Amino acid sequence: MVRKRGFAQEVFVLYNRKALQKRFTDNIIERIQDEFVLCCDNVIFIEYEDKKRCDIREYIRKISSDKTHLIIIGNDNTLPFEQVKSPVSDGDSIVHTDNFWNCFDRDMIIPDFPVARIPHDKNQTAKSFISMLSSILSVKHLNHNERLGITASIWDKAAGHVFKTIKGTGDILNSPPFSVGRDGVLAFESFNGCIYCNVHGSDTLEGWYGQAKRSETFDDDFPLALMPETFVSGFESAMLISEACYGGFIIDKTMKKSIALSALNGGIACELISTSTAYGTFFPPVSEADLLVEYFMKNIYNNQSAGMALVKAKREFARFNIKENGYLDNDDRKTLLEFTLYGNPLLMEKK
Amino acid sequence: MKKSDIIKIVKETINSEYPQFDGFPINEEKINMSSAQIAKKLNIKAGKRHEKLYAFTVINNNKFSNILRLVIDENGKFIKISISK
Repeated sequence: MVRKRGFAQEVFVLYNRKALQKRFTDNIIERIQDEFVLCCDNVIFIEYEDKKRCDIREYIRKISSDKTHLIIIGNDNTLPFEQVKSPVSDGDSIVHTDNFWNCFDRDMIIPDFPVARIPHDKNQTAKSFISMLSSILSVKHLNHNERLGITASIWDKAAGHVFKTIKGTGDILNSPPFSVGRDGVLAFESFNGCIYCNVHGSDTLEGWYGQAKRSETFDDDFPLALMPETFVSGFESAMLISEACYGGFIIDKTMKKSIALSALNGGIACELISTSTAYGTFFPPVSEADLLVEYFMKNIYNNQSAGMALVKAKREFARFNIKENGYLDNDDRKTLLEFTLYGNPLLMEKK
Repeated sequence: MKKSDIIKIVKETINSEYPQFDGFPINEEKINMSSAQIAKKLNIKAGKRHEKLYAFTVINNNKFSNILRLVIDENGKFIKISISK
């Protein structure tokens, strides 16, 4: 291995050669490597094998530095998530996480360096995947001209608090009354900025849903707020942040069944998203998902890459809760396990 | 405060503030409080621990199985009330 010196960041790309060749074509690895070499200055390719999973983790731990950004290529069937027992008795037996690769504490919740995943969908062609990869890697900077928020009405106070930390012009919509079923598909055009979603999600439904307040009367208490078709195109430099339960659950999913996958293919460069049941408060002071997103955005605006912003956000989140309460409770631990990055972790705010 | 009094406070709070969860089973959960290793890794000193805490989970079987989680101390003061997304 030759390590180049003098670069601000080094990118480790982790992939399973055999699994990707079987899933796509024989030359898929060369095509993936070409995209990284074109878009990143300092890249190290690391080949993954199931049998050597722990050895590879230890190797990455040893060679990583404060400049490292690890990017995992593939979905669960080509490079599996780690499965960790859910710290909360909430019906989730396990949490799927990529913390295995960058968290070396016993609970696997405190990251040492950034990690992100660029996943493929169940039916994606090699051409489509390479095109998506190229699009994701080519976006270097996050503009903050615009912002859009969608929240379930019952959480509008907590969501409004988080939304205030996001730069740009634009409003936060309450669902209900907002619904793509009622108001038609949201259409984006050259969108530059951040989309923040504080809505319901599930591991079986493709959309994300709102929820009415107790005091409100609507035809549907859980309207369809967003669907995969919402994100098929219209983005120039954009990030998606979602607190929806299972928003990032992509296993065995197609783009038509997953907003996370549809948005990456549609031009969203980076997503902060949860792989299982996420938690938050109704009102400020915020906690869990809301608090993590607040820390994440503050770090984005403090000149950190998306990957490093999440590393710092998770550490600040743990530090705050341990100082405040003397411990991390079970839902705090779950929040740290389940929130993950998809897309380009090198994305930085444009100054 | 006795545990039965704590549970009474939890039930009253659910009834008045979160009626959509009223009537569903209230399950107690053990809190894992061992954060020493994490505090050491983050190079911080843990704050003062509450002497005794109770965590309760209530699952409402609506469209998204909303989950309400309540953490309360031995004096009956709520430390955190959160809900699943």
